[in-house]
Parts: sequence; C-alpha cells; structure tokens
Amino acid sequence: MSVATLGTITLLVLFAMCLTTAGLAMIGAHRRSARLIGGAVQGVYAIAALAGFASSLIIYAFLADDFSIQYVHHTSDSAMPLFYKITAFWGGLDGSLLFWVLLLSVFSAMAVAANRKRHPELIPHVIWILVLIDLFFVGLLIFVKNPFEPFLLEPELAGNPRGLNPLLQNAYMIIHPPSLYLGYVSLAVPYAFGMAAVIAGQVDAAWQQSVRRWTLFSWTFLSFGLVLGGLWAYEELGWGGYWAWDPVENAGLFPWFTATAFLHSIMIQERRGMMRRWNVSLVIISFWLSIVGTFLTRSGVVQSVHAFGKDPVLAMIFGVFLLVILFGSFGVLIWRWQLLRSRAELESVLSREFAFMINNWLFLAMALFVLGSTMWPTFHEWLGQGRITIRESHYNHYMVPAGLAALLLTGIGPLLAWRRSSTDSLQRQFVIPLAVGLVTLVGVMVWEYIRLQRVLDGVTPSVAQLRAAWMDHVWALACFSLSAFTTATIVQEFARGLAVARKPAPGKPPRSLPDAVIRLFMQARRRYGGYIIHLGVTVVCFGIAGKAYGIERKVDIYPGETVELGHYEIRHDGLRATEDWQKQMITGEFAVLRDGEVVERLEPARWWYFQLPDQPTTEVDRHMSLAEDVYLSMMTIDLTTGKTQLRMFINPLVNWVWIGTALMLFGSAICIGTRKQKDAARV
Amino acid sequence: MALSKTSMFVIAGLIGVASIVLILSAPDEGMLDYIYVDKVVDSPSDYVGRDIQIHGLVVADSLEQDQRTGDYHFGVEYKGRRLAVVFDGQLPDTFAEGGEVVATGRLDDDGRVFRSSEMSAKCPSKYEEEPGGAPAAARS
Repeated sequence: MSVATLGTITLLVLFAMCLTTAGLAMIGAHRRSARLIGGAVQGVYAIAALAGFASSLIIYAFLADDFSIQYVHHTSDSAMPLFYKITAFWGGLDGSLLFWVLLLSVFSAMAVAANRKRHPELIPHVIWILVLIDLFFVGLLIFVKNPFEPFLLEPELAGNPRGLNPLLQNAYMIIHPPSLYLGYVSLAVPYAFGMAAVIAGQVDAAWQQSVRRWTLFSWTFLSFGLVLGGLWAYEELGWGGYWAWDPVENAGLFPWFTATAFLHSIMIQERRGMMRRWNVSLVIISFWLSIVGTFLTRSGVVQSVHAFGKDPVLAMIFGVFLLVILFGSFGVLIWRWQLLRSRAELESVLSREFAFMINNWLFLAMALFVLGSTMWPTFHEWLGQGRITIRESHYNHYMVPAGLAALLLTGIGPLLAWRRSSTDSLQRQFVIPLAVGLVTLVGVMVWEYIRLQRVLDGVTPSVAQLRAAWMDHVWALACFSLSAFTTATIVQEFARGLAVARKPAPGKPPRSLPDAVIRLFMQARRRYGGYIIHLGVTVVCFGIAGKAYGIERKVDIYPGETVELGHYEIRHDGLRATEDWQKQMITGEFAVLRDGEVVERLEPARWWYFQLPDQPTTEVDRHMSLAEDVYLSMMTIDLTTGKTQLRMFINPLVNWVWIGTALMLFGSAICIGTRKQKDAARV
Repeated sequence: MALSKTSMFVIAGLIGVASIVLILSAPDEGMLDYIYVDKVVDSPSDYVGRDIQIHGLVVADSLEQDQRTGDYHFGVEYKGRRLAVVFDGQLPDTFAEGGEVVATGRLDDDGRVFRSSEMSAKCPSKYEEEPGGAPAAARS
C-alpha cells in the first residue's frame, strides 16, 4: 500500500473518529453518562494518536522522496537538506492544515488529560467543542486540500520536483511558522473551556485558572512568532525595516491584542468576580481572530506581499466557519447573559479594575482597527468602489497613540489599588515615577537641542527650528518619557518588594540580596514575572521610538568612493565574485568609518541561485550597536564599472526591540511556571 | 458606591474627542486608489493631482536610465493602453520587462507621464501558492 493511500485512509478514520467522539461527548453531557463521557475521553486520545500517525506518514514521505505525492513534489526535492524536508511539512497549504490538526489534536489530549478530574462537568463540552473544530480542519484536508493527494498520471509527467524556494531555506522557516501556529492553535483550548463553563452554567468555576497557562503559552508563541517574522524581514529582505502592516503580519497581531487583554482581565474575575462577560467575549474573539488569521494568511482574500495563492473556495468555506463560530459563541453568551453578571461594581475611576477595563477597551479597539483596516480594501472592492491600498501611514497614525496609551496603562495599572486608590496611596505610588517621566521629557527635549546644533554644524538653533524638531518627533519624545515613567514604576515595585523580602525572620540577620530576589519570585511569581514582561514591552517601545530618528539614503557609488551617512562615512572597497554549489555571489566590500576610523567592514551581497536565475536575493550586512544599526543593502551592480546602487540606513535603537522581546519571553517563562492558587491573592 | 454616571460620561467624552481628533487629522495618503493602467490612460483627469497606485506590465525593451539624474524611464501597459513612467528610486530585485509592477506616485498635470518613487514588482514567471512566508514581490 502506498503512503498516499495509507495517509488518505488515516485521514478518513480520523474524520470518523472526530464525529464519533463529538457525538459521544454531546450525548454523554446531555445524559450525564460517565460511560459515554469516558468513551469520548478515549476518543480524544485516539484522535491525537491518529493525527500523529498521519503527520509521521507525511514526514516519512518527504524523507523517502516519495514524489508520487503532489505535495511532496511541490515542496521538496531529493537534494534538499534533511532539516528542510521535515519543515516542508508545514511549508505548503495542505501540510500546514495537517500541522494545525496535529497541534489541535495533541493540545486537546493534553488539556483533557490535565483537567479531567478537576472539572468533570466541563470536560464533555470541552471535548465536543475541540473535536468539532478538529473535524472542520480534517474535513478541509479530506475534501479540499489533501496533503496525500497522489498524481493520477505518472509523476514523471509533472516535471522535476520543485523543491523549497531557496529563499525559505533558513533557520527562520524552521521556527517562525510553527511558533505562530502554536500560538494560534493553543487559543482553542481557553475558548473551549470558556464556552464549556458558560454552557454548563459554571460561571464561578475556576476554569480561568486552568486556561491561564494555555493563554500565556499561546501569547508567548504568538509574541515570539511575530517578532521572529520581523527579525527575518529585517535581516533577510533588505528594505531596512521589520514591520510593514502587511495583512499577513496583521493576522498575527490582532489575536495577540485580545489575548493580552484577556490575560489581564481574567485577574479581575479571579480576584473580584467581575468582568465575566468581558472575559468570555475576549476568549471568543481571540479564538475567532486566530481562525481569521489562518484564513487571511492562506486564502489570498487580501492582497499581501506574502504572496500565497488565491483560493476562493477555501475562502468561502472559512467564511462560513467563521460566521458559525461567531454567531454560535455569542449566541451562547447572550443566552447566559444574566448568569454572568458581575459580583461587584466599579467603585472608582482610580481603581485597578477601572484601569483594566480601559485596557480591555483599548486592546479590543486596536485589534478591531487593525482587522478592519486589513479587510477594508477587500470590502471596498466588493462594494464596487474600486480597489484601494492602505499604507503604513494610516496604521501608524492611529496605532502610535494607541500604543502609547497602552504604555501609559502599563505603568499606571499595577500601581492603582483595588476598588479605590486613596490620595495617600496615589502619592506614595506615583510621585517618583511621575518625576522620572517629567525629568526624562525635559532631558530629551534638551538632547534634541544638542542634536539640532550638531546637525547645523555648531550654529545655535532658533526657537522655531527647535519647536519644529520637537513637533516632528513628538511621538518619540512622548514615548521616551512614558518609557521612563513605566520603567520607574516597575523598578519601584521591585525595590519595595525586595525591601520587604530582605526583612529577616525574627532573631536572624537580614537576608542577602540574591536570597531576597529568589524569595520575591517564589512568593509572587506571577506578579514579578508580569513586571518583567512589562519591562520587556517598555524596552520594545523604546526601540520602536528610534525609528523617528532614522536615516535612509540611496546612492550610486563606485569602488574607492566615500559617501556620508549621518555621522558615519561609507567607503566602497570593491566587489568580489564567488560561487558555490547552489549559487553565484557578488559580495561588496564596504568600510564603515567614523571620524576617519574604520568601525567595521560590511559585506552586503547579491546571490543568484542556479535554481532561480531571475530572482536574485539581497543579502544585507549591518553594523550593530545598542545605539543604532548601520544597515547596507546592495541593489543593482554594474560589473564592468563596479558601480553599485547602495541603500543605506541608520536605524537607531533597533536592537532594543530584540532585547525587549527576549525580556518579554523570559518574564513569560517565569509566569508559566507558576503554581496556581497561592499567587491569586497577591496580584 | 458605584462609579458615578458623571465620571463615565467624562471618560467616554474624553475618549470620543481624542478619537475624533485622530480621525480628522488622518494623513491623506493613508489610503490610495489602486488602478490598472488602462483606466488611468482612458480617463487621466480622474486621477491627476493626488497620489495613486498603478498596476501594469512593463513594456519590453522600454527601460532606459537617464545618465544624469539616475531616473529610470519605462512604459507600463495593461490591455493595450500604455503609460510612460519616470521612477527615481532603485529598481526592486524582481523588476523585469514583461513583469507586473505596482508603482506609487502621481500623474503629471497633463496626464501623460507618471512619476513614481516607490515600486514593487512581481517576477514574470507564474507562481502558484508560495510556501511559507516569503514575499514574491520585492519592494523598493
């Protein structure tokens, strides 16, 4: 039996298993039959096993160079390195859907296994919800995009196996898509639990604790995947930036926004029994947006430079699925609306609850704005109004202030008291950070003056020029002072926490600093882990603000010439032609000079893969420092004269974006490791 | 004591005002019309005087570079209608005669020449779905 046949049969069995399991779970829930529910649980494990088997089959097909299967033929060839043959599994549409099924099946099994004893009333509902979602994707695989589809005729007629585009054969391809998929798919679990709790009427159940870790897991992988995509674009593609508000980029961002809101809002529910309607809504929307994201990325409905093919059939199927989820879920919510009433009311504007509510509205607004703007060109066209393109300036105009508002809340939120902050408490909490923020603002305004003076070659800037500089960079200035404010709040919290943690046990000497730090994290891991994540976010914002001071120049430069770039000089030291088994390379040799001294030698290049002679790739090279990147990218090269079209960038503070992200992930790891209940009281 | 209606109104009002200010100050070139070259050539007066994006195929053997200014001159066409383009940036990696381009810029007042500083190009060879996340169109 061929792999293609075995694979297809596995998918059919998987489909039948999903149907059966969902049926068992639904009937078992209705009849409260432990036997049927037990059967459903076994079904979930069987589904995971079948999905695992199907996945290993497709991987085997790749490793064995089974080109009778169309998918293998399209995305692999015999010469490809082993690693990329495995990653080709999720490289194309069909395989990526199977990857979705694998992840969802495994996560479902894990979630059921972990929570079966803890939430017996919820489990049947969790099962049929997760399995029905799985069923949809398995159905897609069988009826629309079977990765095991063989060639009907002789495979030789199809030509040579295409192989993975060499542009994609890098480490990023191995990590970036799976990370995003992990983030997307894991949102199904909190969704299933949230819906199960509402359906079962168990609104006080601690379902949110069980799913907090899943949501954090999802959030972590979405964050990682998003930033990795940005880093990939920055390092490999040569246009000098890392985020372009492209629809596929946005598709990863909007579920991230609502997941962030959910992670915060859930604390309010835990602590005060409030915002339950918000939380159910947020978890529905987050999951829904993860499907929208998958749909946008793979259906070609929206124009994108990530040129996935257009697939109207797939688009329509997904569209129906999305409508069913949306109306079904919110229908259930509305049915249980009264039951989800808050236990308490908002008492004051100066309370943490209120800050979190504003946070919810802000992040929801950002998610809907990005979604709406991404979809707007498509709707505009459907309405017969002609086609339009949304530019970055549209997104930045709204998202920059919104992001700064979020940064402000990051500083304020943790410092506000529950229910109501007294004047005393406000004073105690905010005086120092506000002072730090104001001093920073004045400081950067003064620094602008100094910078302007340098640009004008020592001439004192006029008031008008200074004011223009401040206005030009107003958002960056605001960002710097808010970053300082928020950082001060976090440092203050740590300092105060450490002071308490250092207090000795009676009759003993004061604890050492490392000891105190460890105590701090063990007592309130979630809180301090959260602060580290906030610090990471603040650092990322700081890094983004550097863009306001960036420089870009395009020049034609001959070997031996030197051009100016900000306070650097770039000297063309020649070109070099080389070749390896895969490609021809022209490498430029450039010296980056500052005050006449060579700071670094950079070697941007252009590569022509033999496989893709019409599609040269641009390899950038950059000089990295904490202050800025000097980034060089060669465009066209004239080999007879050596004339090179060079694109040069100075990207201030860009490396802080990556540093901040690492901090975020580190903080997240601390939080995920938290043992639940003890921390709830501490936040 | 619950949050007073006054506080809620004030907050909502502030947010509302901020949103309106943002919307009114939105940049004009945030949204651009995207038109195929044949429509532009047929009714240029509709498109003069503002930034737009045009989509067409690069006419074979039409690419020239002005040695003095470095600008590129080429023709784009769609469904038989042809438009002259002057481009002052650097040609994207995948620019090729016969290939599709999307150029951002402005039509001259006389509607004969399109001046552009930003362009993305798709390789002339046809793709089906691209695996993974690589851009098939390079941007300049």
